[in-house]
Parts: sequence; C-alpha cells; structure tokens
Amino acid sequence: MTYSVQFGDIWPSIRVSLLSEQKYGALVNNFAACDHVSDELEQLHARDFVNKAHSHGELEPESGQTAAPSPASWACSPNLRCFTFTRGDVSRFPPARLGSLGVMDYYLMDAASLLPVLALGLQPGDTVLDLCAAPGGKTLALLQTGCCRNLAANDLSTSRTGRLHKVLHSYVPQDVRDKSRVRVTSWDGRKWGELEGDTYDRVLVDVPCTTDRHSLHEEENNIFQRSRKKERQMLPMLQVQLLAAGLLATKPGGYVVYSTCSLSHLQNEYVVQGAIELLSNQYNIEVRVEDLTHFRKLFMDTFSFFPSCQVGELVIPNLLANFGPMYFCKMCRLT
Amino acid sequence: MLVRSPCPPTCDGWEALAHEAAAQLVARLHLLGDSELRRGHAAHSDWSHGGTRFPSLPLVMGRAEAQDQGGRKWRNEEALLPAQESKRRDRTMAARGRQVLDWHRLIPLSWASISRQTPHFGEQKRATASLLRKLTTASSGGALKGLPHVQPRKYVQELECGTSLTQCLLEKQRAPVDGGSSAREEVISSLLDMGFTDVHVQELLSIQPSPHPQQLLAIISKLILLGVNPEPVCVALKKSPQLLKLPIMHMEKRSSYLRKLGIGEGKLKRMLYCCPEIFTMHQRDIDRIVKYAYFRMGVNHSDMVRTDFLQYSITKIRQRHTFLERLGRYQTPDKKGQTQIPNPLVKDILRVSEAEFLSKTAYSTAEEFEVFKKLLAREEEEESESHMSGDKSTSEEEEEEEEEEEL
Repeated sequence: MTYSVQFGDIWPSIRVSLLSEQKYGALVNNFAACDHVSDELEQLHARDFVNKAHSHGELEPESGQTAAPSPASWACSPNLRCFTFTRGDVSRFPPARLGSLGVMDYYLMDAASLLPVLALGLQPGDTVLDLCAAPGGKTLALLQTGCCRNLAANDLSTSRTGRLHKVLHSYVPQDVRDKSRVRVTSWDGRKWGELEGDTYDRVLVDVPCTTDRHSLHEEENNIFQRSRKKERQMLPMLQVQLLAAGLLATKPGGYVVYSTCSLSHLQNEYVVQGAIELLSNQYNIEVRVEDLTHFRKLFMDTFSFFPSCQVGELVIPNLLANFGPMYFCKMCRLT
Repeated sequence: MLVRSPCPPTCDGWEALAHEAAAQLVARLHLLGDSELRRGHAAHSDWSHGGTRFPSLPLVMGRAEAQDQGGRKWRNEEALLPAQESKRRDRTMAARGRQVLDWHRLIPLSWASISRQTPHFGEQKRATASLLRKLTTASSGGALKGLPHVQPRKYVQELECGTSLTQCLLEKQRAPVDGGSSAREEVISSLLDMGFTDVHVQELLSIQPSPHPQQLLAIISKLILLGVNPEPVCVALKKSPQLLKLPIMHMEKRSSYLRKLGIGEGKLKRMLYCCPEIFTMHQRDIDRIVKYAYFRMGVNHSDMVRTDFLQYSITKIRQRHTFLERLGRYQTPDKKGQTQIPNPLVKDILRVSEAEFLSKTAYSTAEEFEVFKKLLAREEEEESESHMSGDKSTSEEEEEEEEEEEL
C-alpha cells in the first residue's frame, strides 16, 4: 500500500501504533479556575508538555539571540496547558469532572491536536477563524489562549456543529463566550473568500480527511463506507478549496495553519502546494510557507515527528508516544 | 478494539468481501494493506472450511467441526473426541452390566490393552512383562503378602469407578494390615522390574511431597507404557513432582488426547521434560493454543507438532504473533493458504529469545514491545470484561474466540 511506500522502514512501527490504543492529553480548562487540577494531574505522574517544551526552548537559544522577542513565526500560542503521561507510560486519564463555575476541569484529546493551535501563534487581540471547527477540541484550545477578540467557528455539518456547541457549553462560561464574541456557523467553508475576505489575523483550517486512526477502529461515520467512496476520492480537491478559502479570508500579513489527521501526503503536502499555487495563479496572492523546524524541536521529546516532510510537520504514531497522525503546516499570507 | 463486521462476510472472493465489508475493514484495506482485512474475518467463518487447507485437524477435532458452516464455534472438550468418548462410555456400561466377573477373564483383556499401548522397545517389553507378571500373580493370590481372598464382586466395583485395570490391580496390592513397608517393597520391586536402577528408585522414592506409593507407581507405569524410558521418567519427575499428584485417569485421558494431536512417544518424552504443564494444564488451555495456532496463525497441524507448539504459553504466542501481525510482518494465510509476504517461521517467532525475536524477526525495540504487551493485556482484559457483562447472544465458545482477536 502507499503508506508502506511513503514511509518505508518506519511504516511497521506506525502501523502497529495505529492499531493499538492511542494516547491522550488532558487540556486544562483555564476557565474552570481550579489550580488543583494541575496538581492532581501531576500526582498521576503526568506532565504539562507545553511547559516542558518552553523550558526546553529556553535552554537552547537560537543563533545568539538573547533578549530579542521571539519572531512571530515560531512563537507558540500562550496559556495552553496540556498534560500527558511520559514516553512508555500507558496510564489513562480519569474522565473529566465538573469543576467550579459549572464547567469541566479538563478536555481529553489527542495531544498532537494541540500542536496546530500552538503553531498558529495567537497574540492578544487577534481575530480568529476556525474554518472546520467541529467537533471542537481545537476551537476550545483557541479560546483557552485568551487571545481571541473574535472567534468565528464554522463547520459545514450541522450535526457536528451541535457537538461543537456542546463542547463550548461544557467548557466555556457564558461570559467568556460573549467576551470573545464566539460565533458558530454551519456554512460552506469554501465560500469564505467571498464571505469574509481579508478579515482574519489567524486562521485554522483543520480539514475533513480520511481520519486514519478513527477509520480503523470506528464503524460510525466512517469515510470508507461504500456510500462515501466518491466523497473520499474528492477529498484532496475539497481540501485545496478549503485552504484557499482560508487564505483568502486572512488579512495580508496574517497566518494560516492547515492541519489534517491523515498520513497521506496527497492530503497533506500536495494540498498545501496546490492551494498556494491556486492563490498565486488565480488571485495573484503570494503565500509563504513558514519553517517550523524550531517549533518541532521544542516538542520532540513528547512527539515522534516524521523527518522527511517537504513542507509542514507530521506527528507519526509510535508505541511509546501513540499520538497522531497529525499533519500541520503554517503559512503567511504576504500580499 | 475489535473489528466487528455488522454482517457475516460472504465467501465468494475478496471483491465481494470488500463489497459487503464494514467501512472500517475497507479502511484497513486502503490504509494498511490486505492482511487486516483477511484476518478480521478469518476467525469468524472462513476457517470452518479449513478442511481444504489443513486436512488433519478436523480428524482430531471431530468431523462435525469441518462441516460447520457460517462460523460455528469450537465445541467444548468433551465433544472434541467423540469417538473416544463413546468407547469409554461403552466400557463402563458393559462393566456395570455384569454382576459377576470372572477374574481370570480379565487378564487377557488387560494384556491386550497393554500390548496395544506398548511400543516395541526392549525395555518396554520388560516393563510390560513385569506388569503382566503382577497381574498373573495377583490372580493366583500367591505372591502378595497379607492379601485376603478377593471376591470377584470387589473387582466389579473397582471397574465401576472407571479406573484403569492397571490401577485396580495395583491397588489390590495394598497391604491392608501392616500398611507402609510392604507396599513400599512392592513398589521398589515393580520399579526395578520396569528397568529403573537402584539409584533411580531411591530418587523417585525421595521426591517431595511424597505421593502414596501406589500413586507413584501408577503414574510411573503410565509413563513407561507411553514409551518414555526410565531415565527420562526419573529426570522428568524429579524436575516436576507435581506430575505425581495427577489422578491416573487424568493421565490416561490427557496422554490419549496428546497422542491424537500427534504427540506421542519421542515427542512426549521431550514435552515431559521441557513442558510438563501439558499434563497438568486444563485441556481447555491446550485447545486455546491449538485453536490460536490454526485459525490465527495458519499453522497447520503437523507443523504444530513438529515445532512443539504446545510448549509455549498462550500469552507468549499471542504477544509475539499479534505484535508481528500489527507491524505488518505476519499475515494469516487466506483460504488458499497464501500470503502476500513470506511469514516468519514459528521457530523464529517463538523459540528464539525475546532479544533475538525483536532484532531478527520483528525488527523492533524492547521498549516498544514492552509497551505493546501492556496495551495488549489491557485490550484482552477489557474484551473478556465486556463479554462477561453480557453480550447477549454470545456463547461461551465465542468468548474464547473473541479473546484471540485483537481489533
């Protein structure tokens, strides 16, 4: 199969991980206002990998920079705390509980899903668009940063937007939702160039994909259903259109992160390159891919990265760190 | 994390299979390659047609199994050997039916049964001859000390309890009055007759915890009759004294079952030494191993015997095989016995040390394998839990089968 060709010698270790139980991270809910959550998680011998990455980064300053402010391209979105068990530890987190203020204390997710949000590098006061927001893990993370002046969360599917609402209600108090001007819509993401062109500081395009790990284990809603064969074959085109729309909706100088949870370079690098080409040819808009090498190094202890992506980064599942697959690529809209 | 098809697969070929298959199986086909697709269904129904590929197994397991359609499950051990079971029942029935047994008529019967079981080695002949001598002496009542004149009815009663003739006769040697020492002497003499040296006899009699002398003799006699020579018997029993605790009937049943599986004589000796558990373990556990090897690994019957498959624990087999399978380095053969990749040999999977397995067969690391074992153990635990808490239509046999599937 193509994956064994694409990955060669490391394919077996990816394969066995995909077929085995995945690892989760606990995204601490800043709005639950309970500091003891971190303590409790630490007592379980889990560690905040974001914090670990930052201290890791501080120990290795890049090319002689001392007190210089971190370049916008690789600064991480702030205020995110996510606990994971160490490499080789297969413990599970207890289910999240309702904390004070009537919201849940942490959100269990694939820890690799946090990386696209971290890479987007939100800054306070940003106008943010989450183009394919459901089921809402990354949307929640965007809100956790506390940086969103406006957050537009969209998903084509109304049933999935329902789940998004549920997540927001369970985790984010009403006043915060109001303050961040969270707007949830169920429109066609491909239209965003026309709907809200040149509008956003940061855009996340977490596209529908073959959801590799999910498809191997869950029957429900599986994109490999016979009835969805056409849909599956059209995915790369849809993905290009969504990314293009996201880029069009970005202000010049703004940033976009494209992400999938598939291993396929047809859904990953090809789409990035296709969208950039489309914007250049059809709209005369220049887009630059951001180098995430430094960013990747920050998180190498926690995640296993594929070393040979042409553009972007790919977290590959590994038995010791069974997160992902998660592909992400950061772009800057220049013009 | 089971791959469950919502409907049973058809058997018309892989296109048809993919057509009907659940989406997640199609996902596997696309994302992982073919093997998961095959394996996910193999355990359910295809292998009940396995007679074409592995003809010898149905003979052992009972004809009914080979003809089963639509994924019928493993029977319990009683039905596994229907032919043998009915013979045994007949014998007991016949014995009960008789009011009076002529003691002398029993001798030819016992001699016949012994000669049937006895392989033609020199020492075995001697052992058999000595046993026969015991039988004839018993009948004349002469050589046994203190044995009261036996009534025929007593022997009928002995038979009714289903014990073997050998054991009955040995029990007859029990000295009713002065207990221990004369029984011990008898045992010593019997052992010497069977070909054990003085040294052997000393060793055997000093095994702790020490069994009743008659029990000791019964088990030893059985092993001799199975074709194991005195020296290996001695070594094996010293190493695994728990064998001496086995009821002789269990020994009979088990050795007969093992022979049906193709494990007899020379093989048995090896098994006795390296893995005496095949005598003490529950037959259900042997079945589990055999079933796993056959259905999940596509290891045919004769290869199972040749590679001494039973010496490995089901845990080790499952761990190493499932690891290879999920790595994509082992495929369950299809109906035609074919795989896309050459599977590693059984010896390279199970016989080698873990380090060698990892470096030469799995091409993986100790760390990853450790994590994998933990995850697998948890999967299996949750599988059996979810079955016990009531999968309504699941029969007991399916539980056994499901334990062996991964996802």
